[in-house]
Amino acid sequence: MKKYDVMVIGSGFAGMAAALFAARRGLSVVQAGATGGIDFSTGFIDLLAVHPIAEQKVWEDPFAALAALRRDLPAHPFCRVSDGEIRLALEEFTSFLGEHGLCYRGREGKNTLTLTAAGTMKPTYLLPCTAWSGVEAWEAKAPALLVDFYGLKGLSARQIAEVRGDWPGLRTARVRFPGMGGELYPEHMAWSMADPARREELSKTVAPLAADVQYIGFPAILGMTDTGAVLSHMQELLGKKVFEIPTLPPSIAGPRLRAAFDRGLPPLGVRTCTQKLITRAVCSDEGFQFTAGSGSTSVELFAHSAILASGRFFGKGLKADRHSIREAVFDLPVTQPENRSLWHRPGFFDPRGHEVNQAGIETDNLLRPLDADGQPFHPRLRAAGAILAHQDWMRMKCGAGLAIATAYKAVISL
Amino acid sequence: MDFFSIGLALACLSAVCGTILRVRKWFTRGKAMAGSTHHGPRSLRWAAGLADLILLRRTRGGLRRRGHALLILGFLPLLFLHAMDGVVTRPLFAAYEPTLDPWQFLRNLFGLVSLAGLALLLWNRTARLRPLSAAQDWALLAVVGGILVSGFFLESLKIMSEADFTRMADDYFPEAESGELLALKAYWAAENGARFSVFLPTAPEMLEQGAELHEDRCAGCHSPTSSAFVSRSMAALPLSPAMADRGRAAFWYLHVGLAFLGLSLLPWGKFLHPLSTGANLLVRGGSRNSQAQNPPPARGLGLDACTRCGQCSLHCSVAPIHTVMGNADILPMDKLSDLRRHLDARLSPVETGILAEGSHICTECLRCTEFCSAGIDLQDLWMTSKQMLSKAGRAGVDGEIRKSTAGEWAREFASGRLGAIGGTGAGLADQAESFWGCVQCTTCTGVCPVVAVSEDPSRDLDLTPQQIMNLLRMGLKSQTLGARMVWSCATCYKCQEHCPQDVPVADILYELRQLGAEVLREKEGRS
Amino acid sequence: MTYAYFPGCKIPHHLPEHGQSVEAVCARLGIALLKPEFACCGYPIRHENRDASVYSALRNLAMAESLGHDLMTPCKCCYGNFQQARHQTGNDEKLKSRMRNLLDEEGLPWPEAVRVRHFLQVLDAERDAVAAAVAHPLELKVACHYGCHALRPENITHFDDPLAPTIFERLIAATGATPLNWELRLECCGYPLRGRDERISDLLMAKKLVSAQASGADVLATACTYCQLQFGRDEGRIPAVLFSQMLGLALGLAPGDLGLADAALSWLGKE
Repeated sequence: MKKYDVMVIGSGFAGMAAALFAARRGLSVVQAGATGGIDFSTGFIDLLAVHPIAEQKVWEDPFAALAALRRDLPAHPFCRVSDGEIRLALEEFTSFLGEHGLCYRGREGKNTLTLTAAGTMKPTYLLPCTAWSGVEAWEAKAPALLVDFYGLKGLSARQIAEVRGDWPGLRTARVRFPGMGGELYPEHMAWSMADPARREELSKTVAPLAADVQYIGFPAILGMTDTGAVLSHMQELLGKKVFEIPTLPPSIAGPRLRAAFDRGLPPLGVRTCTQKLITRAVCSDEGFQFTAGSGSTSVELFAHSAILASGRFFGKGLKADRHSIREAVFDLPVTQPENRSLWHRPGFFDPRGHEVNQAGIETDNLLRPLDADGQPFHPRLRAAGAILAHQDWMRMKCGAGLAIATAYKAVISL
Repeated sequence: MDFFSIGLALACLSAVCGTILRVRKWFTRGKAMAGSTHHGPRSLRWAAGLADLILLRRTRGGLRRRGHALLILGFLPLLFLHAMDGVVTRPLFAAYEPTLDPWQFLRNLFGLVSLAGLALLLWNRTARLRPLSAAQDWALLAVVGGILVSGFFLESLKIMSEADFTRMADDYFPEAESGELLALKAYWAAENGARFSVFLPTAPEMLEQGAELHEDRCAGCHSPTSSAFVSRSMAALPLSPAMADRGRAAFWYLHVGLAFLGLSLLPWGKFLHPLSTGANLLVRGGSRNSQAQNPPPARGLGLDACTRCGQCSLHCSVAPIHTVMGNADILPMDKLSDLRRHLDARLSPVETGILAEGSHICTECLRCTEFCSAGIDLQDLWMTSKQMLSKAGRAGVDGEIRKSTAGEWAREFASGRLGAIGGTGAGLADQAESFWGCVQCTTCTGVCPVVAVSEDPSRDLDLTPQQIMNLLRMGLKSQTLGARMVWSCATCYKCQEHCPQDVPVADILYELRQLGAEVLREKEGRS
Repeated sequence: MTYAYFPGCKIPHHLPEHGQSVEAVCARLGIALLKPEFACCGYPIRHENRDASVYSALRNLAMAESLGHDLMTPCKCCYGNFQQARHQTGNDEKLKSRMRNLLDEEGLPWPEAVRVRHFLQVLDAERDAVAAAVAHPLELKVACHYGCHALRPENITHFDDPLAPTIFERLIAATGATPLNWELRLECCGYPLRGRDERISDLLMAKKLVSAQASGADVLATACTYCQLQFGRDEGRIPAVLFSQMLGLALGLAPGDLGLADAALSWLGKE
């Protein structure tokens, strides 16, 4: 049985980040995980934008927000990571993505408001470069055309324009996507955009409608693996600045990210057991013996250390029945409301959110999960990402950033 | 006109006319199968084909090969030198008499060799081929065996027959005195096994006299019957002379009658195989793989050359499928005979459906062609007949489904019949557990390569994978069965691999296809 | 090493060069191949009847089991169906007992110990020996085509990582050639739709070939009878070559022994 330095459990943001950071630091890494929450990603990397969530206060400076959060919520996982570590983690993560065709940008120390498919402006920290012109366009309230497609359900330009009453220069148009009819699916559209001929056809359809605008926004279908090249070519053909808006989930941001990691991690020496969940874990002083997958195709692995980045319910890191929540791999104690009736508040959109969303794994300052007695479960086990307790990533707008930063911390603290 | 002449005439008429009709079918069936172009005339490797024929190179299996070898070695001489002695042996050999040696001895020898061969073939058929055997297989063995056995009986009864002796004596020794006749009879009884109803002397002087008379009158045409070693030993059977006489007459009719029967049946079924198979081996020219695209007459000949040896079916690659599904036309031997009937337009619609199902299950693995003792290019026949059946609208389950739209199938299935057929396979499509994780995230549709190459999935495929899952979890299976997506699924398993909620999408699509096949089978009366 | 060799139905008539080259390569590498009279693996009939498909597969496995050797096949659809049959009987007791009865009737044992290996896995297990035996390294850029039925679903087929497999590239590198990354390397070739939906089959094939060509590769390497039959139809875009033939050439075997006509070696000319 092969022995590895680190086993990364999970292949979402935190798992991918942990595998990257560990491999870059010369550790032998094995990673197991199945498709999970990342498929619903918008592609934006949030750091922290809303605190406190009950007041829905939006911050322009995420680091100032972090300072306030650390003061107000001492149990929040961001308290385990320093600002410096956060910056380094995000830098390393996004430069890796950049090497694999997904360029990211943002403003140092500032959140950026960016357009969503619902027409709302969402604060985020780092965006795909393909969305950046949209930011510029909105900030300048420049004349812009939003294009959507007959048959694509995930984005309605008119919907966005209706919500964005503050942007009078925004026009919309609906066109046919070349070569596809009936119901359209973003992934297939994006793949087809790899063909320059397809881009030319699309440009020919859109150009006449865009005579008097400076920016054109499309649903996020501008290529799967080389979005930069597709975007540049579209800009060249249309003679305007072009940007993407992620479609309602599942958008192709998730597949783009996963594909970049599938391409980029194996060459770094990471052994991947994709589409396998950990079904058994045996801990000892020497390390951990894991069974990945089940039945005749299960794999036995041994690792000196382990990082639990298995996600929440959709990622199968946490399992819930009608009574309680359990952690799926080590059966770690899960901080959770006393009983089921306390999981949710009666109002779905209650600004305080729901207690169940803050359930998760308790850790110490080194991100070591705690056992029932409050002691580290194992000296070389770490936890990272959405599985951590005391955070509500959806309402705080901190999901990806938290995952990447805690993954970084988990790795360097090994 | 006597029994013999009439019988011979009728048998010949039947044989010739029937054979002409059979040969004609080589051309008509071959043409009916064509449709694809074929190569021009090609060189026939006669020598290799002849070697296959004479040396029985393609006949596999010890029992069958030895049995055939013995039977052919024995029967051909009997046919030409004994049955056709009037036109063959007598003109060639001036002094020929059937009761003279070497002919008498050879007749028994070849008869015995033939019987030995036949016994091996009979053993082979009963021990190994019984499930594959039909009436004509047993009939041919019975007729040939009957000819041989009845021949021995006839000869032995002739040996015994008092009436025959009397007739011969009247013809060739009319002036015999009673004493001389008695001596001759005594000689014949002692030396040649004749049976007489009178008491015969055994004194040596009588026998000596009889021997002299025999030398004088009989020996010119009669070798000692001991050279007819088989028949002579049978002449020891305990029969009264009267019974021997009656038996002799009966067996003459039986022997000749069976021979005429065999001759008249020559154009029926496998009775023609000595001719058709022989011709096919020559035409095949020793080739062991498929020449494909054979000219129509060669195809027609191949169709006709089957000896029903069963080797193709015994070694067929899809025989295990036959074990489970039971359709006899899955196996080559029965498929071939039903294909013939189909080309003669003699199959009912249900039978045609069975043939189509069997045909499309064939994986074209070439093994039956390699094993065929008759050298039939089965691979070519299967590939061509599949195309022919498809063009005629019998393209297997997939083709049948595509004849109607998804909506039409939905209405038909929802009419209540589906309940009777119900779940199939693992029942994944019916179990809530399969779907309760589905959140309609469209990942399965997003990764599907078939959706990717469709310009308009809702037009070309009716439903996309996640839509099918949605209908199934609502219990609306009937709406999904006719959807093109189900039938144009490439089985690449990307959907199942990428599903974040462990919905077995590809397995379910397989199950829907299996259900569709079962439904069609029942609809066409084949289950 | 000795294996029970399972060529599959499509080799004898439709692609004999695949069998020829696999056998030649195995002979050179000292891999002994037993040849019992196997039957169809059961992949095609799975569209119509589950029991027939599972029984076909298990029966072959049982034959290999009685020989006491693992089964090796150069066809990925065959490989996939064997694994599927095992998986299905593992999860369905009634199916398992039906299959057991059928095997008993033929006097065949339940296939417990026998493992199924694809040709690439057999070579991968002896990769160092393979690399050492290479006499004429191929100087080619190669797009490796993985296809589907061995790769997915991984929890049943256990061939390689389903999203990031590497076995084929490792073996191509062992021959001296350079494997390239290309977009559609894990997509289906489209052959399963031959005779069912020719139009979509053609579209799938064309898409793969365009992607392979765009990667700048000299050849598209296949390791499955079906896939090679599919890509071999299109002479125009990029030559599709069986890995067994490429490896054979690298090992120094004569093209004739590998079922390669001299005219078909134009792609090698780029050395």
